[in-house]
Amino acid sequence: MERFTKILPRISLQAAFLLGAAILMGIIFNSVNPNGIPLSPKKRAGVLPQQSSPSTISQTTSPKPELKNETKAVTLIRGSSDKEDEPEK
Amino acid sequence: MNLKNKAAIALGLRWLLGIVFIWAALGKMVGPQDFLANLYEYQLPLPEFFLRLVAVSLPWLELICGLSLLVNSWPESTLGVIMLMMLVFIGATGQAWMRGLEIDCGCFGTAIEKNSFAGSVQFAFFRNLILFGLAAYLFSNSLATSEAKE
Repeated sequence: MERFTKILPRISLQAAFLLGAAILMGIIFNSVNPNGIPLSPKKRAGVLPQQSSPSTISQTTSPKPELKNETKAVTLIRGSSDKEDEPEK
Repeated sequence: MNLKNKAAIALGLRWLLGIVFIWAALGKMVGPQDFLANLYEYQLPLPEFFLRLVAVSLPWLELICGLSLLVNSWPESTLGVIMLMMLVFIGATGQAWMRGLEIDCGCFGTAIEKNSFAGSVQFAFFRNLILFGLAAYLFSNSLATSEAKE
């Protein structure tokens, strides 16, 4: 215990240094890394705004392209079946 | 147990702890956004800025501690920091378990598969207890060794 109290100031100082180094490295790494976390929740300068959520997308876009594809598929299947049904010459 | 065996065991355990911490740090550094999302899932009553600071600095603290253990630099200070970290992790995972939060602990970031037992807070709670015990043993061993040298 005596030994522990003797080295406690040194341990505290070194631990504070470790913590400081980690915070500094983390901030530098995250500011350089494009996928990093900004410390403030505000958007970073020069970064494009995030895309709208899926719920917003479903409200704003129409399902027309899918229908077009379905129609095409049905036409193709029919077309192929028609060809199959044709009597061989 | 003679001193030579004790020193060999302490060396092995120190390296094991160092590798575990480096692994945990790298897992978090690969996906910092995922780690921040994990921190939010704990639903701790802490300010947004503090959570972001933890997400930014904790992987680096773990990496520095892991490397420091491997090269045996400042062992007492490093083990002291690790013990404090483990106490915080035990508290965080324990409260999540008590509140019945079905979340991933996020301890190893993307290195552990999501929704697996190894990533659950229950498993993390006991793992943190073991790591705390390991760090405490190495801390007392390091103190005794440095005292014997003087």
